[in-house]
Amino acid sequence: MTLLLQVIGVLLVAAVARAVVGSDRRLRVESGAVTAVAVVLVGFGALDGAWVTTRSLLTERSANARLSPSEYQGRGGTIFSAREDFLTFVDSRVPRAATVHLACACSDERDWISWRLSPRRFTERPQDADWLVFYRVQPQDADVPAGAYERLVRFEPGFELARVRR
Amino acid sequence: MRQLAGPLALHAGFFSAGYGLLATFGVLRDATLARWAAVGGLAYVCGVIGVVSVTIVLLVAGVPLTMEGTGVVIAMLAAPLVVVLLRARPALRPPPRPSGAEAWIAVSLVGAFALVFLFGLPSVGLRPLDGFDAWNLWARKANLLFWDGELPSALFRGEPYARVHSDYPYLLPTYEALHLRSLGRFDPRAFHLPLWLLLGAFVWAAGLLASRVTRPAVWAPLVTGAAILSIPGLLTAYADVPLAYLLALAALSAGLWIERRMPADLAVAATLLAGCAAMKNEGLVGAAVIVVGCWGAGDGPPPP
Repeated sequence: MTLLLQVIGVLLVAAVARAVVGSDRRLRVESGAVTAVAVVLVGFGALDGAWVTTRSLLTERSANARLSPSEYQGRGGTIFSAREDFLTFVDSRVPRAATVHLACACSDERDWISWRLSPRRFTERPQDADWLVFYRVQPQDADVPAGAYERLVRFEPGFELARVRR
Repeated sequence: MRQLAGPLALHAGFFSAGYGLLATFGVLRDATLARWAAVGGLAYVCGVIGVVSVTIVLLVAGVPLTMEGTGVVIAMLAAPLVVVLLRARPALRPPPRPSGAEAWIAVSLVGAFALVFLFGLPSVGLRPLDGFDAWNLWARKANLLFWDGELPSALFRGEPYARVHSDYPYLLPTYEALHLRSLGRFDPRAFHLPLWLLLGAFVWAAGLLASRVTRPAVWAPLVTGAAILSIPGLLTAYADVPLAYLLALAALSAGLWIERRMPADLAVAATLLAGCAAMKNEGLVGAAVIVVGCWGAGDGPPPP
């Protein structure tokens, strides 16, 4: 939608400019001037940008090279203060082909968890999953019947993992 | 070894497929070796669009994503290249030397951009994926394609995936998944590298197309400047900046067709427009605007 508005805006500006400028000769002069201004603006912006970008790419390279797997895998979850230690724990115990139900008192963080634990498939209902992940919620407070799962593996209170009883 | 040889083979395959498409379009007719080198960026972009689009059609038909299958698609698209090479080998004439201040300005700016590109190459390969849309919308689909080799459309009907925009097209995720498959492992830091290659191909292709309509002192600062200024956006790993590259190239090709009425320009524009539509939903709007523009302008008599 935003792009559509931008495109319509550019077309409107072009139409207005065409109407104001009028004759073809004047149009050529005006478009030449607009091009010159664009070249100067983009050129100067890019000169500064090239230096800043190259420097930051080089700085980032040495910083990123030092990141541990858990640090670079969990980077996107920092905006939610996601518990990367617990997600690494789950990642190491649940097979990749398994299905998972997430019991969590959270909203946006759900998207991060389902990405972080990809390619495991997340299910809507606990009974459709192979594993249950309790995240920031006590199992007894979650909307999952206690008989639905086998032995609970506790990472710490509120962060637990269980296999669905078959 | 695999981590270097795999991606090299895949991206060389995109070049070959693109050259095959350009040969079909007639872009390489009687071309010298210098001309073959000049169209390299356009060949890469067209190759990515061609190979990935065919791969998506095969995925929809139920054919799983495999590197062997991708090799067959590349070979089929690259076949016309063999025909062209057998018919007439490109003449080994020395490329024209830059003459005049303007040409040297262009050479310096493109050279400076090439340095930024090369310095960035090892750095972007270590960059974590942290943009929300990057992992939620694009990398997630690439991840599932990488592991399962099939379209995850049925999975995305479930409530846990309510915000992954299952309606968004698959060009970017499939391109990324192929790159990951070529690496032979899933690495969340590997998503930036194919996008970085698109940046290089954009400057290469836009320089070629823009040099046909304007002077070096205009196209070189605009193309390299726009590319440099787009880097922060590109490093989010969202689809917006790659889409902008394709739209810019499509608009240039379509403009060239309107001005010169050469069928090859129209064929290149059509390929790029297909890429826009397959990159993002908004790309379809942009492509439609360019098509409507061509329709209007294409009604008039060809220019003298």
